[in-house]
Amino acid sequence: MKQFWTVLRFEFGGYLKSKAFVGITVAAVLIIGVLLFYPRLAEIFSAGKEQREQERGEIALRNGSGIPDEALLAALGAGLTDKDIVPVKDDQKALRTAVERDDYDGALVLESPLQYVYIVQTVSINDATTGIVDETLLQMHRQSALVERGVPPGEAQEIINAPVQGRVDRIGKNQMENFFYTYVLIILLYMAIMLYGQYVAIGVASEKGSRTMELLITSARPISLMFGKIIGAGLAGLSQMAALIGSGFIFFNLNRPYWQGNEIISSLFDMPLSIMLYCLLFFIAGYFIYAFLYGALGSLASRSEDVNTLVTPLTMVFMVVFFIVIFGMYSGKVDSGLMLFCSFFPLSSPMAMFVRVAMGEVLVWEVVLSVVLLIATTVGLGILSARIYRVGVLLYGKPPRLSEVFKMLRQA
Amino acid sequence: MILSLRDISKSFGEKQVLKGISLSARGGRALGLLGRNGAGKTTAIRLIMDIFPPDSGKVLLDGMPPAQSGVTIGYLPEERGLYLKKQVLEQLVYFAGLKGMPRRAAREAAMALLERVGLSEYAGSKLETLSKGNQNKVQLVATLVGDPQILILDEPFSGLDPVNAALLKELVRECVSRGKIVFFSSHQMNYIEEFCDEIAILNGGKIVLSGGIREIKHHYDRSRLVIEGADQERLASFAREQDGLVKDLQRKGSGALLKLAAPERKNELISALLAQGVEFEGVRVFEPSLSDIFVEYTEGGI
Repeated sequence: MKQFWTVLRFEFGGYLKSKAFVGITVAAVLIIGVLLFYPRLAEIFSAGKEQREQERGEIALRNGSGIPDEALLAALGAGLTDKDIVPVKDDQKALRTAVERDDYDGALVLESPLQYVYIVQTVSINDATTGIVDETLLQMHRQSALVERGVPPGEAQEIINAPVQGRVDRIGKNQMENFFYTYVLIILLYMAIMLYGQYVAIGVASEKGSRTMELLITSARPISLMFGKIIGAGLAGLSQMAALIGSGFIFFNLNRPYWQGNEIISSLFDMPLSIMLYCLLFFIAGYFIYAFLYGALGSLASRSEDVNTLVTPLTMVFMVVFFIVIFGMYSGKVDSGLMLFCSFFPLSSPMAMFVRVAMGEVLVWEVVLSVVLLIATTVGLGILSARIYRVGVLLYGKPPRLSEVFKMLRQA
Repeated sequence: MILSLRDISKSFGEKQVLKGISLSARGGRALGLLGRNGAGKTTAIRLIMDIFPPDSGKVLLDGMPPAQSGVTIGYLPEERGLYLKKQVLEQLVYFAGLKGMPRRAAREAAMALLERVGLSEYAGSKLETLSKGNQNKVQLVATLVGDPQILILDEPFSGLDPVNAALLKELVRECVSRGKIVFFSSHQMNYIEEFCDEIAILNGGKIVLSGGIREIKHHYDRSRLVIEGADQERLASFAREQDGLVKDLQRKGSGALLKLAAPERKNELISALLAQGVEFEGVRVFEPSLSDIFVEYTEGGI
């Protein structure tokens, strides 16, 4: 047991002392900080640029629709609040050259009450002009149509703008609300399990490659070496995740007022605590089952260069699980038959069950059964991996085939 | 403290590597484990270190399994290797810790040993920044740190210059005199001869020869004599005349090596030499070098 703690301390300390580990963590925290401080920073910077903001766009309007100019200008002006509308008499061709010369930011050519051409150099991604013009013209058309049929103008206005009052009485979960945080957590889970699992494999293989293993295996029990390494890397992964998530929460709360309008970001940081705890549970369980396998595979490689070939099948399995889960999330059918199976199958349950807990309808016994299956399999694979490791670490040369490994296990 | 291997056999798959070997090593006496490449030395060493169990037979330290006695082993593997990317002191403390030493004590012991081999200034450097020879010395410190009761040194002199080899000899001698069990495996027979009181020669998975070096040499064929300082021509004619007594004569270094018809006829030979007036400076019984013995016992293949 003492050996295990010595190995754990050495391995975990190794991560904390590694420049790459610290650098990546600090960089990620900085990126999260910049993203979450962005609205506040943007406001500070834009305060100095108020003058530029006052510079409004100019849109030329050629009214060939028969609607009275005044009414049209008033209606469009009410919609296009950030633009000055300049009535012109030029034809479409002339306006085209004028826009091209930058005389105007754009030009509207109305041919009839429901037909227009919008001339613009480039349509920017947040140019809402056509939408506003569509809406304005449609409203004017409805108004005049109703009036023509003898409806008094005031009543017509009421009919068109009649308010709708709706309310959602939700029994299950709102997938729109929890989609985003589940998505972020699933990606974190996926990356952390894969990254730290592979670190374990590479760590074991490089100890073999550098022949440090000769000394390690003669100084300590293989089980202490393997568990110390796996739990050390797991702790490093957990602390990295804690640093990212923790700094995210702190930065968000410092800037909470600036994110009031953004439902996606707010929903991410207002996720229920229970979801966070489930994420932790499934990270730990999922990490162990994969880390054991990665560790065993790493012990079969003679050098760290061989690791990739050996771990690829396992990584593929994990990726397939990830895609099944992501597709399940996008389709909204997180309780489908495939997802149901995946949420109990130990290699996929950490991610699949987590998504079902977060977004679907899961009964308590289902979660318990899934976790029990996962833990039982993890213990079984842990014992098997420790045996493979024991045999594997002294094996040099070409990585053995799986059948050869089992043959050796029976003999050992 | 006596470490003994009793009738140990070990196979890997179809291949039987050890076929019932027995040997024992005593504290304060270095044991040289000899054998050609592939003779089973590393397997024997790993069995002693309990990395895998034998198929049959027992490893016993003072009559009980070594794991139960809590004894620690310092191992210098033939394939040297430490963490290249880690600091020297950091990994020495780690290896001592794995052997059960508390951190502070491990730190002090490692520093003292680094001081001893003249590497204390590199304690905080990464191992990869050290020269090959210094890396070898750090490996030696890693073996000795934690004050193990049993030392297993596999080719300890490879890659050391004469000055460092002398330093290693000094350190190993100290360990032997402090009553530790020292296993020594090497192909460099001169070092074995210098250090080891006992040897065991492994060949083909069996021990073909074991015992004290002096006794082995002493019990060797005593019928061969070395005659120093005699004229070769004169000796050759003498041998022809005495063909009942001298069976074979060959040049050996500055002297000559001759084989008697029987070992107890030494005095007869000396009288004959004196009677014939053959001048010589000395006569002694020829003792083969360890190298000669090794070749003789392992030549027949592994």
